[in-house]
Amino acid sequence: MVAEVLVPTETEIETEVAAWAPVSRWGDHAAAVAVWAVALGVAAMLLWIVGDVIIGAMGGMAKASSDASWWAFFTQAPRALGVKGGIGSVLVSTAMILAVCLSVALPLGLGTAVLLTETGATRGDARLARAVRRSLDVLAGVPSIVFGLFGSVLFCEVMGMGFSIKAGGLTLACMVLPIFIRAAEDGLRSVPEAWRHGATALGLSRSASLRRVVLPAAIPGLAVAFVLGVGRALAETAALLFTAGTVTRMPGSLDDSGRALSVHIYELAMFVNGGEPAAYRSAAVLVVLLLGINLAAATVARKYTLRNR
Amino acid sequence: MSLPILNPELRLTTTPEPAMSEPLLRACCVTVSYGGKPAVRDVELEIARGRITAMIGPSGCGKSSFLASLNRLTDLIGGCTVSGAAMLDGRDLLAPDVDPVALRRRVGMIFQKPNPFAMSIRKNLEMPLKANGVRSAADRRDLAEAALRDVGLWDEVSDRLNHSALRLSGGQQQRLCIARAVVLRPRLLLLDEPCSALDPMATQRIEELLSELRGGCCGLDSTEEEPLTQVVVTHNLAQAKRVADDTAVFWVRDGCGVMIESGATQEVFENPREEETRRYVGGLQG
Repeated sequence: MVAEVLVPTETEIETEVAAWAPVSRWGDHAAAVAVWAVALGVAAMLLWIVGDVIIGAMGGMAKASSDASWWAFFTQAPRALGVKGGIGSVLVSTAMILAVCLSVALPLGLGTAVLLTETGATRGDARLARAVRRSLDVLAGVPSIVFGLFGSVLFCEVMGMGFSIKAGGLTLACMVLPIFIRAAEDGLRSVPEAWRHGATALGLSRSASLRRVVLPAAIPGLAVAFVLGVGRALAETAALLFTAGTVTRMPGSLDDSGRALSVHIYELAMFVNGGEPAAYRSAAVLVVLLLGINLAAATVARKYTLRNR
Repeated sequence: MSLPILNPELRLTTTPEPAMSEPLLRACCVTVSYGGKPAVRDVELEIARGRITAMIGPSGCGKSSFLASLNRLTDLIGGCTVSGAAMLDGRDLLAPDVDPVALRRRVGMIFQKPNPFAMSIRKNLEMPLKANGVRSAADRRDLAEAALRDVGLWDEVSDRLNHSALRLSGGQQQRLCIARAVVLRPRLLLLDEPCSALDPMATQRIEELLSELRGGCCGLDSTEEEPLTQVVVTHNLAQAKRVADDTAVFWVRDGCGVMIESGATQEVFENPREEETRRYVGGLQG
């Protein structure tokens, strides 16, 4: 009788074996393959673009090298509509437009981001923050050509700046602000609330708490915001066509017209016969610049994150 | 301003200079509301000078809200209003003319989860000193060292003061936070469940520290050693029994927190006046 109880029947064994059989995982595997494929696709697209631009630029370099040393490309002014010569004056114009844009967008943007994250104790604050946030989201979606027309009317005509680096930089600032603010807001929001409370409980005023605790802790996020802003500004073409203009001369002041690097690429590729090699070379410079800024910001962010851990 | 004084003896003893027996803080009719709905109502409580007062009670009875009102951290919470009066050194710290920033230097706060800043151990201590007007770097260094000694952290961290405070253990982080608060030499230190995120060993260390701090600490203007008054909110009844000289019991009545009784800890635990207290502390023996 005892043996009968202990020895399992055949069906019992079968049930037991079935219970321990591996569960089919084809769904997991399929998902893994899909995720990898998508990720590789994205990486491949970046490699393709960068590779195409660099190879195109190298071909151009080989032709141009008879003309002068490779370094001359960065110092000489464009000649023959940009087909010959370098991009020296274009680089200077780009830097000046970027400087105008950042010197306006960074303080304004940081201030707005602080308003959005660090206030809000009262109902009025919250309402204002909501209105600001909604307008920023709409602004971020406005096409750049519209910003260009807006800047052309407001800065060039109404404010009488004409085609100038100043007008171009200010127009870019309008474009960059919504992106920079939302990214900076995320950076500030990632600072734990416990630190704000801790700082307040230690008798720090709101400004002291912001300056000594919140902003230093938000540096990685602010660096990301900076990169997004600069990237947007460097890549912008349409908004600059009507505001900063397309003059290739070396700018003497912020009131002169100046051609930004992206505008230079556009002009060479679209309107200049035989402009393609020079366009490729300029595009390579632009891509390398963007990658460099990206890398620098990542380094800053990592350094501060490490110091914090 | 007329304050409702419940204890008739207090009206007679209006001596100009407060004696040691005079309570450090006297809360009168303090009500903390969120969006107009009171979370804790009409708290009448005296916090004795140089002693540790525990506030115990079930969750949601308003202990922490009341505690936060005592250094006006409630100002940071949208829709939160505090009424009543809390007299500290003859001033009503809930009055609108009291500068909350100045108040918080006299009334420190320790939180449930240790919250050292993402900076070095040294800077965690020196930054608040700098922000509170200690100009000399040498003074800041000396005060920081003294504060670390006060909390028994000096021997553990003196060789790595420039390391990030976030690399310390939870218990060490909490002691650093206490050091950061006592270095400003507050009159009153509020602790909101300071051990609930810590293991038993770290908890014991903090409890010992609180008892030591009662005897005084050296901080800013350390001309005289003044005992530190502490108020501890805790869910741990055994902890209240171990560390607190006095205990106040909070309870929920009619959907709102109230302070139902207070007195010497031994008295509250062994001879409670209220039925709720009897049942609540009775859980300890079970």
